[in-house]
Amino acid sequence: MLRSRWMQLVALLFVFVFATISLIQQIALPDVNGFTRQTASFLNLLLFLLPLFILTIGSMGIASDLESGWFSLLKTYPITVAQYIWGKYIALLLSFMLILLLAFAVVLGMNGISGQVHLPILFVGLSIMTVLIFSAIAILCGTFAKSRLHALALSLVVWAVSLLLLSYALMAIGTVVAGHVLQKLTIIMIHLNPAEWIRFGYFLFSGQTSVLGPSFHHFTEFYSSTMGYVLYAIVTILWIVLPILLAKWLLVKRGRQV
Amino acid sequence: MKRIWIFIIFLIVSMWSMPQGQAKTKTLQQLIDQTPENGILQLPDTIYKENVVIRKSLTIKGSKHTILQSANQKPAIKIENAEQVTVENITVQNAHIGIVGKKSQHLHFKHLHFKNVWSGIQLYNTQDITLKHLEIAGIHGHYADKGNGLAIYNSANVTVQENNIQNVQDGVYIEAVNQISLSKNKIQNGRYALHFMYTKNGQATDNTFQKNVTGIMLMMSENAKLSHNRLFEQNGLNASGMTLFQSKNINVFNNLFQNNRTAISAQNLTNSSMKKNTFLMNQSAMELIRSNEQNKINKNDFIGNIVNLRSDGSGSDIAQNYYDDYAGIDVDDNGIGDRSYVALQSFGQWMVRQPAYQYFIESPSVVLLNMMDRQTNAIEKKQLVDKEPMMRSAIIVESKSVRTVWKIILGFGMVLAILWFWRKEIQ
Repeated sequence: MLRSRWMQLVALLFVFVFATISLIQQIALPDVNGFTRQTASFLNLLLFLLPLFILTIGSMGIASDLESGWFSLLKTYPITVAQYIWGKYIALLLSFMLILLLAFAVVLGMNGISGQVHLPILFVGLSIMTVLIFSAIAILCGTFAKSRLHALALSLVVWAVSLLLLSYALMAIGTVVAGHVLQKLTIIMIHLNPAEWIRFGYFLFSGQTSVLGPSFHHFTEFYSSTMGYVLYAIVTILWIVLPILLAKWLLVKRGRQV
Repeated sequence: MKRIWIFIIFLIVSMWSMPQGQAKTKTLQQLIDQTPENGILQLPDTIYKENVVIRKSLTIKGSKHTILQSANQKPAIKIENAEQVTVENITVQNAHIGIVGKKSQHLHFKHLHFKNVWSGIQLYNTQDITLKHLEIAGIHGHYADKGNGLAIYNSANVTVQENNIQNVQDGVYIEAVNQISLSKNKIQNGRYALHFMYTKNGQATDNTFQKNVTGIMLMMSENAKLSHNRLFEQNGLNASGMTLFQSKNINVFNNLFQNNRTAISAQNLTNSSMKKNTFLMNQSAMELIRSNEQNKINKNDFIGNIVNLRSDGSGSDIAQNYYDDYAGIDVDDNGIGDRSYVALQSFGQWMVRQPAYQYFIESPSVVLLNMMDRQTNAIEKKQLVDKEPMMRSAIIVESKSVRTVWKIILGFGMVLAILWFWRKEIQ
């Protein structure tokens, strides 16, 4: 996967954007704790770029195997569908972990030089979580697609829906329904949308749940308890395991049809 | 043998006389009663466990370790119908209420230390009051279970200066007071640092408020000046630096608002101004509800806030502020941007009307929405429009620069190692 020119370009772009935004934001504003424009920029950068790259590259990797007949050839070897899927998942995971590590290393170096660029440890954890979840979804998109182009289109749709369209739909609904209905729909969306789940994770683990406002007080209070943390871990694991299992099931089903 | 008997008799006599000596130690109330009108009572390093009442003019001066404790719900010191009372240098601890003053004049409290008290000082119907260099630390627990650090009702000419108050409900609660000046106070970890109700001619200057629910809560008051205050980290649920409600002639100037949930929430304000304030990295800098054109928002600096201005649709006079996200240019170089700054954001307006929208604050979808808003709202002429946005900020944001060698070596070492690994993988 690292040999892919696309992957190399993605690495270059990600490292450049990540490093420059951290530098510009932190030089422009004093370093304070809390949810500020800096932290929001970091979070949005993470949520915009990482899922986009992971979904497109990951899904096209699998779709390419299926389209070119490479997967059919692999089936003649003593390898199960599950092994293939998990192999692809781990390869995607490690590739993006390497890109993340490269970006973090550059930021660390810049921090050493200027002393103004900081990378909170929480963002490192959230980045890893984003790679873990969206790699699994990318694998599912790849198995669902019929061709590379289809995989690209599908991943862009998934990206747009989870990052933008679901939120817009909910905001639009909010203009016609009561506040408590909007609040409940938002809570449902947080669980069903991986991007929102990761964003919520930031507020939860940074102790900034009050940013979300008084409407979500009881919800955030529950998730700030031990039981809430356990539930958060379970839902996160489900977001990783379920797409992989579904992808495996789809590939097995497709194999039978062929 | 005779000497032994003499010694035993001496010992018995001494032991017998000792409790009598103790009984002669006067209580604080007795000392107060014995002090003549306008006299000075100098107290030694002693612990007094009682509640005292003062009904005459006098000065009480404590020593370094003069401590007054109250074992019941009554105030440790009660002052009634007194003309001139000064209390200095005393520690009041483990009391429900430290001092209560009623129907009195010329009360001066200086260098008092209140520890573990439900409420520090409560004053009713008093005049010409000075509260200076007080240290008040309330009890632990929820705000609802605590009293106010200082509470002043129906009084006039009050000076509250250089006090340090923490862990109370309201730092200073002011109700129906005329002429009050609060300066150089530091209030933290309370509900409201300053709580003005029905107050006239109030002034709060050079105070620091940190980690309260609200820094200054001003309700149904008039003619107030709030200047040169520093309001940091009021960022809990429903928190704000200042909430100004249903008041008129309120001047807010030269204050620093940093890292608050909402820096200023102005609700139903009349004929008021907010000038030369710095709004630095707040979630929302200014919220205007039921405002009008008589309210002026001029020459403020908006830097690093997520939402600069938001309103419920009502208008205000907004001019010559600096906005760090202003994208215009200044061709004639007069320091004022050539096109208007429109702070109107769909999301900001929604958030005012429907609190559940707050969940989406600065989410990826809202960031894009704001970008679109900037294009579509360029034609907006009335709502949240600054026709003369400043090109330069009046303040300089300082940041320290420290070089760390190990981070440089580790960071760039990691970069080289990753690139080497990547290249090896490709080959």
